[in-house]
Amino acid sequence: MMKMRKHLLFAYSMMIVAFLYLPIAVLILYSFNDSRINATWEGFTLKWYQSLFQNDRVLEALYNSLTVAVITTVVTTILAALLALALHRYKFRFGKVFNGLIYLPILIPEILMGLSMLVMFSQFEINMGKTTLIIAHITFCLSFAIVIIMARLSGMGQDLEEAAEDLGASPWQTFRHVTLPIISPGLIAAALMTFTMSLDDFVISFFVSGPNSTTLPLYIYGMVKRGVSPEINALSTILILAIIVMIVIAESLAFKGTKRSQ
Amino acid sequence: MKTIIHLDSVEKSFGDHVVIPAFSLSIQEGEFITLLGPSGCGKTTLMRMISGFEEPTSGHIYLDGNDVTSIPPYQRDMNMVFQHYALFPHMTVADNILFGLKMKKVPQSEQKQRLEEVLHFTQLTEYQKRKPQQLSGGQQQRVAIARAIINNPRVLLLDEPLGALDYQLRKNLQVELKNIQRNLGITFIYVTHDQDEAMSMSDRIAVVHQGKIEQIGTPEEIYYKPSSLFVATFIGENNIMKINSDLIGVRPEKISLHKADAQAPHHKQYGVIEDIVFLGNIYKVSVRAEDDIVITAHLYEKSTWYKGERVGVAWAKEDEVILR
Repeated sequence: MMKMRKHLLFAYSMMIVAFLYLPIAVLILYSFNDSRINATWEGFTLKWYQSLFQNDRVLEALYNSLTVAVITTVVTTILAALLALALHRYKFRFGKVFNGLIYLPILIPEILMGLSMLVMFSQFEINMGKTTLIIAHITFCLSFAIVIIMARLSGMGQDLEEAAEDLGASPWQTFRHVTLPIISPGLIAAALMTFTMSLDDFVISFFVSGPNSTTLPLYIYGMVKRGVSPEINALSTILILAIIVMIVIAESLAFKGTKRSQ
Repeated sequence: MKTIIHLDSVEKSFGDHVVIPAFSLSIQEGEFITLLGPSGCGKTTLMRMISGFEEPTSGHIYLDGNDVTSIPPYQRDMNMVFQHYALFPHMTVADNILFGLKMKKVPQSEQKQRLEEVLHFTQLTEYQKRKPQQLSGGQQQRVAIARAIINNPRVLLLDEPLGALDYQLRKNLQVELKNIQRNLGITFIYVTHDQDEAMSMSDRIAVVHQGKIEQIGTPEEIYYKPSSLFVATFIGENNIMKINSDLIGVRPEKISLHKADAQAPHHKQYGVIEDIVFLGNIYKVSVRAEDDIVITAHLYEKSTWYKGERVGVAWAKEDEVILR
Protein backbone atom coordinates (compact mmCIF):
# COMPACT_ATOMS: atom_id res chain seq x y z
CA MET A 1 0.00 0.00 0.00
CA MET A 2 2.75 2.40 1.05
CA LYS A 3 4.78 1.44 -1.99
CA MET A 4 1.80 2.03 -4.26
CA ARG A 5 1.29 5.50 -2.78
CA LYS A 6 4.96 6.31 -3.26
CA HIS A 7 4.80 5.32 -6.93
CA LEU A 8 1.68 7.39 -7.50
CA LEU A 9 3.31 10.39 -5.89
CA PHE A 10 6.36 9.96 -8.09
CA ALA A 11 4.24 9.73 -11.25
CA TYR A 12 2.33 12.83 -10.20
CA SER A 13 5.58 14.78 -9.62
CA MET A 14 6.83 13.73 -13.02
CA MET A 15 3.63 14.94 -14.63
CA ILE A 16 4.01 18.33 -13.03
CA VAL A 17 7.61 18.57 -14.23
CA ALA A 18 6.49 17.55 -17.74
CA PHE A 19 3.75 20.15 -17.65
CA LEU A 20 6.31 22.81 -16.72
CA TYR A 21 9.08 21.85 -19.10
CA LEU A 22 7.47 20.13 -22.09
CA PRO A 23 6.82 23.34 -24.06
CA ILE A 24 10.40 24.45 -23.54
CA ALA A 25 11.73 21.01 -24.42
CA VAL A 26 9.73 20.99 -27.65
CA LEU A 27 10.97 24.48 -28.47
CA ILE A 28 14.58 23.44 -27.95
CA LEU A 29 14.12 20.17 -29.84
CA TYR A 30 12.69 21.88 -32.93
CA SER A 31 15.55 24.37 -33.03
CA PHE A 32 17.56 21.38 -34.32
CA ASN A 33 14.87 20.22 -36.76
CA ASP A 34 15.84 20.11 -40.43
CA SER A 35 12.52 21.45 -41.66
CA ARG A 36 10.96 24.88 -42.16
CA ILE A 37 7.65 23.66 -40.82
CA ASN A 38 7.66 23.00 -37.14
CA ALA A 39 5.15 20.16 -37.19
CA THR A 40 7.28 17.23 -38.32
CA TRP A 41 10.74 15.99 -37.38
CA GLU A 42 13.02 15.72 -40.41
CA GLY A 43 16.44 15.16 -38.85
CA PHE A 44 19.17 16.96 -36.91
CA THR A 45 20.69 20.22 -38.12
CA LEU A 46 22.50 23.29 -36.81
CA LYS A 47 21.64 25.45 -39.83
CA TRP A 48 19.13 27.61 -37.94
CA TYR A 49 21.84 28.61 -35.53
CA GLN A 50 24.12 29.44 -38.47
CA SER A 51 21.55 31.55 -40.24
CA LEU A 52 20.76 33.25 -36.94
CA PHE A 53 24.32 34.48 -36.55
CA GLN A 54 24.41 35.73 -40.15
CA ASN A 55 21.28 37.79 -39.59
CA ASP A 56 22.27 41.43 -38.96
CA ARG A 57 18.98 42.31 -37.33
CA VAL A 58 19.31 39.49 -34.81
CA LEU A 59 22.84 40.56 -34.00
CA GLU A 60 21.71 44.14 -33.56
CA ALA A 61 18.93 43.05 -31.20
CA LEU A 62 21.44 40.94 -29.27
CA TYR A 63 23.80 43.93 -29.06
CA ASN A 64 20.96 46.16 -27.81
CA SER A 65 19.86 43.62 -25.24
CA LEU A 66 23.38 43.17 -23.89
CA THR A 67 24.11 46.92 -23.72
CA VAL A 68 20.89 47.61 -21.87
CA ALA A 69 21.39 44.64 -19.55
CA VAL A 70 24.99 45.52 -18.68
CA ILE A 71 24.29 49.19 -17.92
CA THR A 72 21.13 48.29 -16.00
CA THR A 73 23.02 45.73 -13.96
CA VAL A 74 25.88 48.04 -12.97
CA VAL A 75 23.64 50.98 -12.06
CA THR A 76 21.01 48.88 -10.27
CA THR A 77 23.51 46.93 -8.18
CA ILE A 78 25.27 50.08 -6.98
CA LEU A 79 22.04 51.94 -6.19
CA ALA A 80 20.52 48.91 -4.45
CA ALA A 81 23.67 48.28 -2.38
CA LEU A 82 23.77 51.89 -1.18
CA LEU A 83 20.10 51.87 -0.21
CA ALA A 84 20.30 48.47 1.49
CA LEU A 85 23.32 49.61 3.51
CA ALA A 86 21.54 52.77 4.59
CA LEU A 87 18.42 50.85 5.63
CA HIS A 88 20.57 48.31 7.49
CA ARG A 89 22.62 50.90 9.34
CA TYR A 90 20.07 53.55 10.26
CA LYS A 91 16.70 52.99 11.81
CA PHE A 92 14.51 55.92 10.93
CA ARG A 93 10.88 56.91 11.31
CA PHE A 94 8.49 55.26 8.87
CA GLY A 95 11.14 52.59 8.24
CA LYS A 96 8.44 49.92 7.95
CA VAL A 97 6.38 51.96 5.49
CA PHE A 98 9.53 52.57 3.50
CA ASN A 99 10.33 48.86 3.40
CA GLY A 100 6.80 48.19 2.16
CA LEU A 101 7.21 50.76 -0.59
CA ILE A 102 10.34 48.95 -1.72
CA TYR A 103 8.60 45.58 -1.91
CA LEU A 104 5.51 46.89 -3.67
CA PRO A 105 6.90 47.20 -7.24
CA ILE A 106 7.56 43.45 -7.19
CA LEU A 107 3.81 42.92 -6.98
CA ILE A 108 2.65 45.62 -9.39
CA PRO A 109 1.61 44.11 -12.75
CA GLU A 110 4.30 44.68 -15.35
CA ILE A 111 1.82 46.01 -17.82
CA LEU A 112 0.89 48.82 -15.43
CA MET A 113 4.52 49.57 -14.82
CA GLY A 114 5.20 49.73 -18.56
CA LEU A 115 2.17 51.86 -19.22
CA SER A 116 2.94 54.30 -16.40
CA MET A 117 6.47 54.72 -17.65
CA LEU A 118 5.29 55.31 -21.19
CA VAL A 119 2.97 58.02 -19.86
CA MET A 120 5.73 59.55 -17.76
CA PHE A 121 8.30 59.64 -20.57
CA SER A 122 5.84 61.23 -22.97
CA GLN A 123 4.83 63.76 -20.29
CA PHE A 124 8.44 64.87 -20.09
CA GLU A 125 8.72 64.60 -23.88
CA ILE A 126 11.59 62.17 -23.78
CA ASN A 127 12.09 60.23 -27.01
CA MET A 128 11.86 56.47 -26.66
CA GLY A 129 15.15 54.69 -27.13
CA LYS A 130 17.92 52.98 -25.23
CA THR A 131 17.92 55.61 -22.48
CA THR A 132 14.25 55.17 -21.64
CA LEU A 133 14.69 51.41 -21.87
CA ILE A 134 17.57 51.49 -19.38
CA ILE A 135 15.72 53.79 -16.96
CA ALA A 136 12.67 51.51 -17.08
CA HIS A 137 14.76 48.38 -16.52
CA ILE A 138 16.57 49.93 -13.56
CA THR A 139 13.20 50.85 -12.07
CA PHE A 140 11.74 47.38 -12.11
CA CYS A 141 14.99 45.59 -11.16
CA LEU A 142 15.80 47.83 -8.21
CA SER A 143 13.28 46.27 -5.79
CA PHE A 144 14.52 42.74 -6.43
CA ALA A 145 18.15 43.76 -6.03
CA ILE A 146 17.48 45.59 -2.76
CA VAL A 147 15.59 42.63 -1.32
CA ILE A 148 18.43 40.23 -2.16
CA ILE A 149 21.13 42.48 -0.68
CA MET A 150 19.05 43.27 2.43
CA ALA A 151 18.63 39.57 3.14
CA ARG A 152 22.39 39.16 3.04
CA LEU A 153 22.95 42.13 5.32
CA SER A 154 20.43 41.05 7.93
CA GLY A 155 22.06 37.60 7.91
CA MET A 156 25.32 39.34 8.77
CA GLY A 157 23.83 41.20 11.75
CA GLN A 158 25.45 44.21 13.34
CA ASP A 159 28.07 42.80 15.65
CA LEU A 160 30.64 41.97 12.94
CA GLU A 161 30.80 45.61 11.93
CA GLU A 162 30.88 46.65 15.57
CA ALA A 163 33.67 44.17 16.26
CA ALA A 164 35.71 45.65 13.40
CA GLU A 165 35.13 49.15 14.69
CA ASP A 166 36.06 48.07 18.20
CA LEU A 167 39.35 46.67 16.86
CA GLY A 168 40.30 50.05 15.45
CA ALA A 169 38.89 49.95 11.91
CA SER A 170 37.59 53.29 10.65
CA PRO A 171 34.14 53.24 9.01
CA TRP A 172 35.77 52.94 5.58
CA GLN A 173 38.12 50.15 6.69
CA THR A 174 35.15 48.33 8.24
CA PHE A 175 33.27 48.53 4.96
CA ARG A 176 36.30 47.52 2.89
CA HIS A 177 37.50 44.58 5.03
CA VAL A 178 34.33 43.26 6.65
CA THR A 179 31.03 44.44 5.17
CA LEU A 180 31.95 44.22 1.49
CA PRO A 181 33.55 40.73 1.55
CA ILE A 182 30.62 39.36 3.52
CA ILE A 183 27.87 40.81 1.35
CA SER A 184 29.67 40.31 -1.98
CA PRO A 185 27.86 37.02 -2.76
CA GLY A 186 24.62 38.97 -2.29
CA LEU A 187 25.86 41.71 -4.62
CA ILE A 188 26.81 39.18 -7.31
CA ALA A 189 23.48 37.41 -6.91
CA ALA A 190 21.62 40.71 -7.23
CA ALA A 191 23.67 41.63 -10.31
CA LEU A 192 23.00 38.30 -12.03
CA MET A 193 19.30 38.48 -11.20
CA THR A 194 19.14 42.01 -12.59
CA PHE A 195 21.00 41.01 -15.75
CA THR A 196 18.66 38.09 -16.29
CA MET A 197 15.51 40.12 -15.75
CA SER A 198 16.70 42.88 -18.05
CA LEU A 199 17.66 40.42 -20.78
CA ASP A 200 14.37 38.62 -20.37
CA ASP A 201 11.92 41.50 -20.16
CA PHE A 202 9.28 41.94 -22.81
CA VAL A 203 6.22 43.70 -21.41
CA ILE A 204 7.86 46.84 -20.05
CA SER A 205 10.36 47.04 -22.92
CA PHE A 206 7.46 46.88 -25.35
CA PHE A 207 6.13 50.19 -24.02
CA VAL A 208 9.33 52.17 -23.67
CA SER A 209 11.60 51.07 -26.53
CA GLY A 210 12.11 53.14 -29.63
CA PRO A 211 12.78 52.29 -33.29
CA ASN A 212 16.51 51.74 -32.77
CA SER A 213 16.35 49.91 -29.48
CA THR A 214 14.76 46.57 -30.35
CA THR A 215 15.87 43.97 -27.80
CA LEU A 216 15.92 40.21 -28.32
CA PRO A 217 12.52 39.49 -26.74
CA LEU A 218 10.98 42.28 -28.83
CA TYR A 219 12.64 40.92 -31.94
CA ILE A 220 11.36 37.41 -31.23
CA TYR A 221 7.87 38.80 -30.84
CA GLY A 222 8.25 40.58 -34.17
CA MET A 223 9.41 37.37 -35.86
CA VAL A 224 6.45 35.40 -34.49
CA LYS A 225 4.06 37.88 -36.07
CA ARG A 226 5.49 36.85 -39.43
CA GLY A 227 5.08 33.15 -38.63
CA VAL A 228 7.07 30.89 -36.36
CA SER A 229 10.37 29.91 -37.92
CA PRO A 230 12.96 27.49 -36.49
CA GLU A 231 15.29 30.48 -36.16
CA ILE A 232 13.06 31.72 -33.35
CA ASN A 233 13.46 28.36 -31.69
CA ALA A 234 17.21 28.63 -31.99
CA LEU A 235 17.27 32.17 -30.65
CA SER A 236 14.96 31.27 -27.77
CA THR A 237 17.08 28.24 -26.92
CA ILE A 238 20.17 30.39 -26.59
CA LEU A 239 18.29 32.89 -24.44
CA ILE A 240 16.87 30.16 -22.18
CA LEU A 241 20.27 28.53 -21.66
CA ALA A 242 21.93 31.85 -20.83
CA ILE A 243 19.20 32.65 -18.31
CA ILE A 244 19.26 29.21 -16.68
CA VAL A 245 23.01 29.42 -16.17
CA MET A 246 22.77 32.87 -14.60
CA ILE A 247 19.88 31.98 -12.31
CA VAL A 248 21.66 28.88 -11.05
CA ILE A 249 24.76 30.95 -10.23
CA ALA A 250 22.66 33.71 -8.63
CA GLU A 251 20.72 31.29 -6.45
CA SER A 252 23.78 29.42 -5.27
CA LEU A 253 25.56 32.66 -4.38
CA ALA A 254 22.60 34.26 -2.64
CA PHE A 255 22.51 31.60 0.04
CA LYS A 256 26.18 30.64 0.11
CA GLY A 257 27.66 30.84 3.59
CA THR A 258 24.69 32.71 5.03
CA LYS A 259 24.65 30.43 8.05
CA ARG A 260 26.85 32.08 10.61
CA SER A 261 29.09 30.17 12.90
CA GLN A 262 27.84 29.93 16.41
CA MET B 1 45.75 52.20 42.73
CA LYS B 2 44.98 54.47 39.86
CA THR B 3 41.57 55.16 38.31
CA ILE B 4 41.50 53.97 34.69
CA ILE B 5 37.85 54.61 33.88
CA HIS B 6 35.71 57.23 35.49
CA LEU B 7 32.02 57.64 34.70
CA ASP B 8 30.81 61.04 35.82
CA SER B 9 27.00 61.31 36.27
CA VAL B 10 26.39 59.35 33.10
CA GLU B 11 22.78 59.09 32.00
CA LYS B 12 21.13 57.35 29.06
CA SER B 13 17.62 57.75 27.76
CA PHE B 14 15.95 56.68 24.54
CA GLY B 15 13.37 59.33 23.77
CA ASP B 16 11.48 60.02 27.00
CA HIS B 17 12.40 56.66 28.44
CA VAL B 18 15.27 56.84 30.93
CA VAL B 19 17.16 53.56 30.65
CA ILE B 20 20.02 54.47 32.95
CA PRO B 21 19.50 57.23 35.52
CA ALA B 22 22.55 59.38 36.23
CA PHE B 23 25.29 57.60 38.13
CA SER B 24 29.04 57.77 38.72
CA LEU B 25 31.56 54.97 38.94
CA SER B 26 35.33 54.70 39.17
CA ILE B 27 37.15 51.62 37.95
CA GLN B 28 40.71 50.96 39.15
CA GLU B 29 43.57 49.97 36.90
CA GLY B 30 44.08 46.21 36.79
CA GLU B 31 40.90 45.25 38.59
CA PHE B 32 38.34 42.68 37.56
CA ILE B 33 34.98 44.35 37.92
CA THR B 34 31.69 42.65 37.08
CA LEU B 35 28.40 44.26 36.18
CA LEU B 36 25.89 41.74 37.47
CA GLY B 37 22.16 41.92 36.95
CA PRO B 38 19.15 40.16 35.46
CA SER B 39 18.69 40.43 31.69
CA GLY B 40 17.26 43.76 30.62
CA CYS B 41 18.66 45.59 33.65
CA GLY B 42 20.74 47.97 31.53
CA LYS B 43 24.15 46.40 32.03
CA THR B 44 24.71 45.93 28.30
CA THR B 45 23.78 49.56 27.57
CA LEU B 46 26.23 50.57 30.28
CA MET B 47 28.98 48.56 28.62
CA ARG B 48 28.13 49.90 25.18
CA MET B 49 28.55 53.43 26.52
CA ILE B 50 31.97 52.61 27.91
CA SER B 51 33.05 51.00 24.61
CA GLY B 52 31.63 53.89 22.58
CA PHE B 53 28.78 52.24 20.67
CA GLU B 54 26.25 54.34 22.55
CA GLU B 55 26.74 57.94 23.53
CA PRO B 56 25.41 58.93 26.96
CA THR B 57 22.55 61.44 26.93
CA SER B 58 24.43 63.44 29.54
CA GLY B 59 27.54 63.08 31.68
CA HIS B 60 31.15 62.27 30.83
CA ILE B 61 33.31 59.19 30.48
CA TYR B 62 37.04 59.44 31.20
CA LEU B 63 39.64 56.92 30.13
CA ASP B 64 42.89 57.44 32.00
CA GLY B 65 41.94 61.06 32.70
CA ASN B 66 40.97 61.92 29.13
CA ASP B 67 37.38 62.70 28.23
CA VAL B 68 36.35 60.05 25.67
CA THR B 69 32.59 60.66 25.84
CA SER B 70 32.21 61.37 22.13
CA ILE B 71 35.27 59.55 20.78
CA PRO B 72 34.21 56.74 18.37
CA PRO B 73 34.95 53.11 19.37
CA TYR B 74 37.79 52.74 16.86
CA GLN B 75 39.78 55.48 18.56
CA ARG B 76 39.34 54.19 22.12
CA ASP B 77 42.17 52.27 23.69
CA MET B 78 39.96 49.39 24.82
CA ASN B 79 38.61 46.24 23.26
CA MET B 80 35.52 44.18 23.61
CA VAL B 81 34.74 40.46 23.57
CA PHE B 82 31.27 40.10 22.10
CA GLN B 83 28.56 37.83 23.42
CA HIS B 84 28.50 35.69 20.26
CA TYR B 85 32.21 36.33 19.58
CA ALA B 86 31.51 38.15 16.27
CA LEU B 87 34.45 36.45 14.56
CA PHE B 88 34.89 37.37 10.90
CA PRO B 89 33.65 34.29 9.02
CA HIS B 90 35.65 35.04 5.86
CA MET B 91 39.02 35.18 7.61
CA THR B 92 41.24 32.52 9.15
CA VAL B 93 41.91 32.46 12.88
CA ALA B 94 45.26 34.19 12.33
CA ASP B 95 43.69 36.94 10.17
CA ASN B 96 40.94 37.44 12.74
CA ILE B 97 43.50 37.91 15.49
CA LEU B 98 45.70 40.20 13.36
CA PHE B 99 42.77 42.41 12.30
CA GLY B 100 43.36 45.13 14.90
CA LEU B 101 47.10 45.38 14.22
CA LYS B 102 46.53 45.50 10.45
CA MET B 103 43.99 48.32 10.81
CA LYS B 104 46.48 50.29 12.87
CA LYS B 105 49.23 49.55 10.32
CA VAL B 106 51.62 47.99 12.82
CA PRO B 107 54.87 46.85 11.07
CA GLN B 108 54.78 43.29 9.63
CA SER B 109 57.57 41.94 11.81
CA GLU B 110 55.87 43.13 14.99
CA GLN B 111 52.53 41.72 13.80
CA LYS B 112 54.14 38.32 13.32
CA GLN B 113 55.83 38.34 16.69
CA ARG B 114 52.74 39.41 18.61
CA LEU B 115 50.59 36.89 16.75
CA GLU B 116 52.91 34.09 17.81
CA GLU B 117 52.88 35.22 21.42
CA VAL B 118 49.11 35.47 21.58
CA LEU B 119 48.54 32.17 19.76
CA HIS B 120 50.85 30.47 22.21
CA PHE B 121 49.22 32.17 25.17
CA THR B 122 45.71 31.14 24.13
CA GLN B 123 46.83 27.68 22.91
CA LEU B 124 45.55 28.32 19.40
CA THR B 125 48.80 27.85 17.44
CA GLU B 126 47.65 24.68 15.69
CA TYR B 127 44.29 26.21 14.67
CA GLN B 128 45.62 29.43 13.12
CA LYS B 129 44.90 28.41 9.51
CA ARG B 130 41.31 27.36 10.21
CA LYS B 131 38.15 29.34 9.63
CA PRO B 132 36.01 30.18 12.70
CA GLN B 133 33.21 27.79 11.58
CA GLN B 134 35.65 24.89 11.93
CA LEU B 135 36.24 25.55 15.63
CA SER B 136 34.33 24.48 18.72
CA GLY B 137 32.55 27.04 20.90
CA GLY B 138 35.37 27.14 23.44
CA GLN B 139 37.99 27.61 20.72
CA GLN B 140 35.97 30.39 19.11
CA GLN B 141 35.79 32.04 22.51
CA ARG B 142 39.58 31.90 22.80
CA VAL B 143 39.98 33.43 19.32
CA ALA B 144 37.69 36.29 20.38
CA ILE B 145 39.86 36.89 23.44
CA ALA B 146 43.11 36.59 21.47
CA ARG B 147 41.78 39.05 18.87
CA ALA B 148 41.16 41.58 21.64
CA ILE B 149 44.28 41.17 23.80
CA ILE B 150 46.77 41.26 20.90
CA ASN B 151 46.08 45.01 20.79
CA ASN B 152 47.36 45.43 24.37
CA PRO B 153 44.24 47.37 25.37
CA ARG B 154 44.12 49.28 28.65
CA VAL B 155 40.69 47.86 29.32
CA LEU B 156 38.98 44.71 28.11
CA LEU B 157 35.19 44.64 28.06
CA LEU B 158 33.51 41.24 28.08
CA ASP B 159 29.79 40.97 27.34
CA GLU B 160 28.49 37.64 28.68
CA PRO B 161 31.43 35.93 27.00
CA LEU B 162 30.63 32.47 28.36
CA GLY B 163 26.85 32.66 27.94
CA ALA B 164 26.68 30.37 24.92
CA LEU B 165 28.84 27.57 26.33
CA ASP B 166 27.87 24.52 28.35
CA TYR B 167 28.41 24.21 32.09
CA GLN B 168 31.71 22.32 32.28
CA LEU B 169 33.41 24.41 29.59
CA ARG B 170 32.18 27.56 31.28
CA LYS B 171 33.78 26.51 34.56
CA ASN B 172 37.12 25.84 32.84
CA LEU B 173 37.08 29.10 30.91
CA GLN B 174 36.25 31.07 34.05
CA VAL B 175 39.55 29.93 35.51
CA GLU B 176 41.34 30.60 32.22
CA LEU B 177 39.93 34.12 31.94
CA LYS B 178 40.88 34.95 35.51
CA ASN B 179 44.43 33.75 34.81
CA ILE B 180 44.66 35.82 31.63
CA GLN B 181 43.54 38.87 33.56
CA ARG B 182 46.06 38.28 36.36
CA ASN B 183 48.96 37.59 33.99
CA LEU B 184 48.35 40.55 31.69
CA GLY B 185 47.25 42.99 34.37
CA ILE B 186 44.56 44.37 32.06
CA THR B 187 41.45 45.91 33.60
CA PHE B 188 38.50 43.60 32.93
CA ILE B 189 34.95 44.90 32.84
CA TYR B 190 32.79 41.82 32.76
CA VAL B 191 29.04 41.69 32.14
CA THR B 192 27.04 38.69 33.25
CA HIS B 193 23.72 37.61 34.73
CA ASP B 194 25.33 34.54 36.31
CA GLN B 195 26.07 35.23 39.98
CA ASP B 196 28.37 32.21 40.43
CA GLU B 197 30.50 33.52 37.59
CA ALA B 198 30.57 36.99 39.13
CA MET B 199 31.38 35.63 42.60
CA SER B 200 34.22 33.38 41.52
CA MET B 201 36.06 35.80 39.23
CA SER B 202 35.55 39.39 40.36
CA ASP B 203 37.56 41.73 42.54
CA ARG B 204 34.47 43.89 42.75
CA ILE B 205 30.87 43.36 41.70
CA ALA B 206 28.42 46.08 40.75
CA VAL B 207 24.86 44.80 41.07
CA VAL B 208 22.72 46.53 38.44
CA HIS B 209 18.95 46.72 38.72
CA GLN B 210 16.65 48.78 36.50
CA GLY B 211 19.59 50.78 35.17
CA LYS B 212 20.83 51.66 38.66
CA ILE B 213 23.88 50.34 40.45
CA GLU B 214 22.28 48.95 43.62
CA GLN B 215 25.51 48.08 45.35
CA ILE B 216 29.17 47.87 44.53
CA GLY B 217 31.69 45.92 46.55
CA THR B 218 33.77 42.78 46.91
CA PRO B 219 31.94 39.44 46.50
CA GLU B 220 31.98 38.99 50.31
CA GLU B 221 30.48 42.42 50.92
CA ILE B 222 27.77 41.81 48.34
CA TYR B 223 26.93 38.43 49.85
CA TYR B 224 27.14 39.13 53.55
CA LYS B 225 26.22 42.81 53.66
CA PRO B 226 23.61 43.39 50.97
CA SER B 227 22.52 46.99 51.10
CA SER B 228 19.08 46.56 49.57
CA LEU B 229 16.28 44.04 49.35
CA PHE B 230 17.05 43.45 45.68
CA VAL B 231 20.69 42.58 46.30
CA ALA B 232 19.75 40.39 49.27
CA THR B 233 17.35 38.29 47.19
CA PHE B 234 19.18 38.37 43.83
CA ILE B 235 22.49 37.08 45.18
CA GLY B 236 22.21 33.60 46.64
CA GLU B 237 19.26 32.45 48.71
CA ASN B 238 17.98 34.51 51.56
CA ASN B 239 15.24 34.50 54.19
CA ILE B 240 13.56 37.88 54.33
CA MET B 241 11.62 38.47 57.54
CA LYS B 242 9.86 41.37 59.15
CA ILE B 243 10.86 41.74 62.78
CA ASN B 244 9.13 44.64 64.53
CA SER B 245 9.45 47.41 61.96
CA ASP B 246 12.74 46.13 60.52
CA LEU B 247 13.10 44.04 57.39
CA ILE B 248 15.91 41.59 57.94
CA GLY B 249 17.70 38.99 55.85
CA VAL B 250 19.32 35.79 57.15
CA ARG B 251 21.17 33.34 54.89
CA PRO B 252 19.78 29.76 54.98
CA GLU B 253 23.16 28.36 56.04
CA LYS B 254 23.06 30.57 59.15
CA ILE B 255 19.73 29.14 60.33
CA SER B 256 19.64 26.31 62.84
CA LEU B 257 16.71 24.12 63.86
CA HIS B 258 15.89 23.03 67.41
CA LYS B 259 13.35 20.78 69.07
CA ALA B 260 10.28 22.88 69.80
CA ASP B 261 10.38 22.05 73.50
CA ALA B 262 14.10 22.64 73.91
CA GLN B 263 14.82 25.37 76.43
CA ALA B 264 16.85 27.52 74.08
CA PRO B 265 16.63 31.23 74.87
CA HIS B 266 17.35 32.27 71.30
CA HIS B 267 14.47 30.68 69.38
CA LYS B 268 13.41 33.50 67.12
CA GLN B 269 10.49 31.73 65.47
CA TYR B 270 8.44 28.58 65.72
CA GLY B 271 7.13 26.67 62.72
CA VAL B 272 6.27 23.36 61.10
CA ILE B 273 8.63 21.54 58.72
CA GLU B 274 6.97 21.56 55.33
CA ASP B 275 9.57 19.92 53.14
CA ILE B 276 13.03 18.38 53.23
CA VAL B 277 14.96 18.23 49.96
CA PHE B 278 18.33 16.54 49.46
CA LEU B 279 20.57 18.63 47.19
CA GLY B 280 23.76 16.59 47.29
CA ASN B 281 25.95 18.68 49.53
CA ILE B 282 23.14 19.89 51.79
CA TYR B 283 19.61 19.28 52.93
CA LYS B 284 17.23 22.12 52.22
CA VAL B 285 14.56 22.28 54.94
CA SER B 286 11.53 24.53 54.54
CA VAL B 287 9.74 25.61 57.69
CA ARG B 288 6.40 27.38 57.64
CA ALA B 289 6.63 29.90 60.47
CA GLU B 290 3.97 31.82 62.36
CA ASP B 291 3.32 34.76 60.04
CA ASP B 292 2.83 32.26 57.22
CA ILE B 293 6.30 32.95 55.88
CA VAL B 294 8.56 30.10 54.77
CA ILE B 295 12.02 30.01 56.29
CA THR B 296 14.64 27.94 54.51
CA ALA B 297 17.52 26.30 56.35
CA HIS B 298 20.52 24.59 54.76
CA LEU B 299 21.69 21.71 56.95
CA TYR B 300 24.66 19.41 56.46
CA GLU B 301 22.99 16.57 58.41
CA LYS B 302 19.45 15.37 58.01
CA SER B 303 19.40 14.40 61.67
CA THR B 304 15.98 13.24 62.87
CA TRP B 305 13.88 16.02 61.38
CA TYR B 306 10.72 14.87 59.72
CA LYS B 307 7.95 16.49 57.73
CA GLY B 308 5.21 18.00 59.87
CA GLU B 309 7.42 18.31 62.95
CA ARG B 310 7.06 21.47 65.01
CA VAL B 311 10.46 23.11 65.46
CA GLY B 312 12.17 26.20 66.77
CA VAL B 313 14.10 28.26 64.23
CA ALA B 314 17.13 30.22 65.40
CA TRP B 315 20.01 32.33 64.16
CA ALA B 316 22.69 34.47 65.69
CA LYS B 317 22.11 38.19 66.02
CA GLU B 318 25.27 38.99 64.04
CA ASP B 319 23.98 37.00 61.04
CA GLU B 320 21.01 39.33 60.63
CA VAL B 321 21.28 41.94 57.90
CA ILE B 322 18.96 44.87 58.37
CA LEU B 323 17.58 45.90 54.98
CA ARG B 324 15.28 48.67 56.09
